[in-house]
Amino acid sequence: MRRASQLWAALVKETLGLVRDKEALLMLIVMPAVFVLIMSLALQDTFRQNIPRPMRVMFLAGPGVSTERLLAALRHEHSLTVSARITRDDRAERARVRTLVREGHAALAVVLAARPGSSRPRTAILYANPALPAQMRALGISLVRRAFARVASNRLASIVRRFAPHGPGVRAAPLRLVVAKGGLDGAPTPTSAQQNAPAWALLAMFFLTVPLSVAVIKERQQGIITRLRALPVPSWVLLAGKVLPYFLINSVQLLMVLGEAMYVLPLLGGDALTIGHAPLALVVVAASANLAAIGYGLLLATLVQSQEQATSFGAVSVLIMAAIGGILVPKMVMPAAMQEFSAISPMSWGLDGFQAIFVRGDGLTGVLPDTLRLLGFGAACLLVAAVRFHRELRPQ
Amino acid sequence: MPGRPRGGPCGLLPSLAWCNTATLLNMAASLPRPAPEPLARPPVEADLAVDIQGLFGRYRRAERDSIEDVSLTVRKGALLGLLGPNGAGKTTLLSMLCALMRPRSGTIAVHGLSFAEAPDAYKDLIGLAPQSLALYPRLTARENLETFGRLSGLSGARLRARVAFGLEFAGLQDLAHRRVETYSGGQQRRLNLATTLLPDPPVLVLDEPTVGIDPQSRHAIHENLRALNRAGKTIIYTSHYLDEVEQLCDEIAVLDNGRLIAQGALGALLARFTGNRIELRFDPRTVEAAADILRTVAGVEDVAVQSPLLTLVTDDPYRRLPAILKMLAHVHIRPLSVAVGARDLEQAFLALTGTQLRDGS
Repeated sequence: MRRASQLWAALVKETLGLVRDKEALLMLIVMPAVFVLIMSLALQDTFRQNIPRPMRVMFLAGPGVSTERLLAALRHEHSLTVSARITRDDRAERARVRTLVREGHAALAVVLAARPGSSRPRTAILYANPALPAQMRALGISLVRRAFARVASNRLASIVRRFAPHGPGVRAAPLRLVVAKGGLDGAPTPTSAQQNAPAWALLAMFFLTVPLSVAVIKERQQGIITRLRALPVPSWVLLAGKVLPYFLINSVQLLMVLGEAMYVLPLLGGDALTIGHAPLALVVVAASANLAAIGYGLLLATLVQSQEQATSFGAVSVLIMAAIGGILVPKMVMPAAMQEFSAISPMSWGLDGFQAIFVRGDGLTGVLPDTLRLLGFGAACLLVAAVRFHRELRPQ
Repeated sequence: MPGRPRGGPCGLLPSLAWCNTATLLNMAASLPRPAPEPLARPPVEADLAVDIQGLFGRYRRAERDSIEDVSLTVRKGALLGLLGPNGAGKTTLLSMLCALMRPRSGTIAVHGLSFAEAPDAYKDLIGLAPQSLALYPRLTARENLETFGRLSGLSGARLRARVAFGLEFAGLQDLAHRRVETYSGGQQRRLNLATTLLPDPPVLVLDEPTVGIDPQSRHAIHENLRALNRAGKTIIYTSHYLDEVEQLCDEIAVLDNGRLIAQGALGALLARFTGNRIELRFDPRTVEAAADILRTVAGVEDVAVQSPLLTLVTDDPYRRLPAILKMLAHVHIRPLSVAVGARDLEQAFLALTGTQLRDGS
C-alpha cells in the first residue's frame, strides 16, 4: 500500500512537471507533427515510382524527314513534354533555347544543327539545366538517347526491308522487359508518408532524452534528490515514476503523428499513410521503440552532470543515431555500405519495424527481430540507469 | 524548553552601562561569579534523540576525513545549534545522520535505532530540510506537499491532515494552488520547511533554513520552530547567522576541521571559551590612554583597542576587574560600560575557530 502510494506520487509529480513544461511538450509533440508534414510533402516525388511530372524538353531543328522522325520519337516518350521549333535560321533560336534551359524553363534542349548548305541535320547537341538533379539529368539524357536509337533502328529496318523485301524482315525484339512493380526484388517500397511519419515520430521519441535528463539534473541541482534520498522511498519507485509518464507522452505523440499522416497529409496533396493490417504488431513495435528511447534517456540522465551536458550530448547523440538510422536521410538514397552501417542505430530498428508493417504488411513474426533488438537495447539502458540511480540514492 | 543562563541583552553577565566609577567598583566587587556550568550533562540513553559515537566520514576520492572522531549526543526535545566555518564538516555530519552518507567508522543512533537495523524506520524518525530549496517549481504548494507526503509514506486522511498542517505552517493556505516558481524566496523557504514536517518526524535536521530571506519570514520560521520545539521536537539547526542561533538554540555544538571542538549549553560555552575577556567602552578620546594604563595592570595578558572598545584578556577577569577599575579611576578615566565574557555568540565562535578566512564548502 505504501509503495503504491509512493509510486502514484512519483507518477503524478513527473506527469505534472512534464505537461507544464511547455518547451518540452512543444519539442516532443509539435516538432514531429510539423516535420512529418513538411518532409512528407517535400520528399513525396522522390518516393513515388513514376516520374512525377514529364520533363520539359525543347527541340530545335531545321525542317526535314529526320527532324520529323526524331520529333515523333521524342514525343513517343511519355516522360518527356516536347515543345518544338522548326526553323531554317536557327542561330538566334539556339541562343534563346540555351538561355531558357539555363533559367530552368525547360529541363533539356535538343538542338539539331543544320549541315552547311544542306537541310539535313548533322550534329545533335543536348543542353541540360545545370540545377537539374543528377538522377533526373541522367534519366532525361537516357530518354533522349532512346528516342535517337528508335529513329536509327527504324531507319535500319527500312533499309533492310528495301534490300530484302521477301526476307524475314526486322521485327520488334522477341523479348519483352516488364519491370516488377515496386522494385527489382519485387518488394514494395515505402511512400513518403510511410518513411517520414515513423521516422520523425521515432526522432521525437528519442529526443525526449533531453527533457528527461534535464528533469533529473534539475532534481539533483535543486536539492530534491537530497530530500528524496532522506525519505523512505526506494529508487525503483522514483525510476518507474519517470518511465510511465514519458511512455504516455511518447505514445500520444506517435498516435498524433500517425493520425496526421493518415488524415491531414492527403488534404494537403500528399500521399495518405497506410499502416497495414497488423495493429498488434504496430503496438508492439511502438512500445519497444518507446522503451528503448526512455531507457536511453534515463541512462543519459544518470551519466551527465549538468544541464548543458544533457542538452548538448543528448541532442547530438540522438541526431547522430537519426542520421545513421535512416531518419534524417532515407536509407534508400544511402550507398550500400552506409545502409549496412545504419543497422547499428536503434532508430533504424524502429523504422524497419514500422515499415515492415506499413509497407510489407508484416505481422508480429515479421517485426520480431527489430522488436527484440529494441527491447534488448532499452532493457540494457534501463538496467544500467537503474543501477546508477540506486547507487546515487543509497548512502554513499 | 529548558532554561538557560541569561543576563543582559547579550545573554551574558550584566552589561554595566552609564555607571560612575565608584558604583562600578562596588558592583565589580560584588559581582557573583558564575557557577561552572557543565558543558553537557551525562547522557541517559533513553533520553537521547541522537547518539553519535566515534564517527569518521570521508568523501569518495578525498584524501582526508571530513569528519574525524566526532561524538555528539542530542537530548530529546533539545534545540541544538550546529556551528562551524565553511568546510568544517557540518553538512557531512548531517549527511551521515540523515543516512545520505555512509560513515567510515563509528555509530549513529536516532531514538536508539541505527540505519542498518531498519532503514525505513530510521528515515521515518528524521526530517531533513536541505539547504537548497528542494521543491518542484512547476507544482503548486499543495501538490508539492502531497507529493512529498506520499513519498514519505502518508496516505488517506492522515495525508490530507498533514498537508493542511503544512500549508498553515508555511502560511500559504491562500496560495496553495499557485505554482511554487511564482513564490517569493521567503514563501519557498517556509514551504521547504513545511515539507520536512509532513511525516511528523521526532527529529528535525535543518540545514540553514533561513538563508536569503527577509526578516519577516525569518521571524515566522523562528516562531514556528520554537513552537515545534515546545511540542517536543528535537531540532538540529545549522546556520551562519549566529545571532539567530543564539536566540533560538539552547545548546551549541561547534565543528571545525571535521572535529567537534565544543558542545554544551550556550551560556556555559560562552563562559568557558571567552570568559577570560573584559570589554570596556570609553569615550573615544580616552581609549588610547586607558589602553596604555591597563597594559601595566598585573594579570592583564593582552589589550586590544578597537575604538571606542577596549578588550582585555586576563587570567581571572573577576579578580582583576576591581584593580582595573581602580587604576582607571586614579587617572580620572571612566569607562562607559563594562562587560565580562563574550558579547555574543559570534565573538565566542571567532574565539573558538579563529578569524582566518575559510573557503571550503
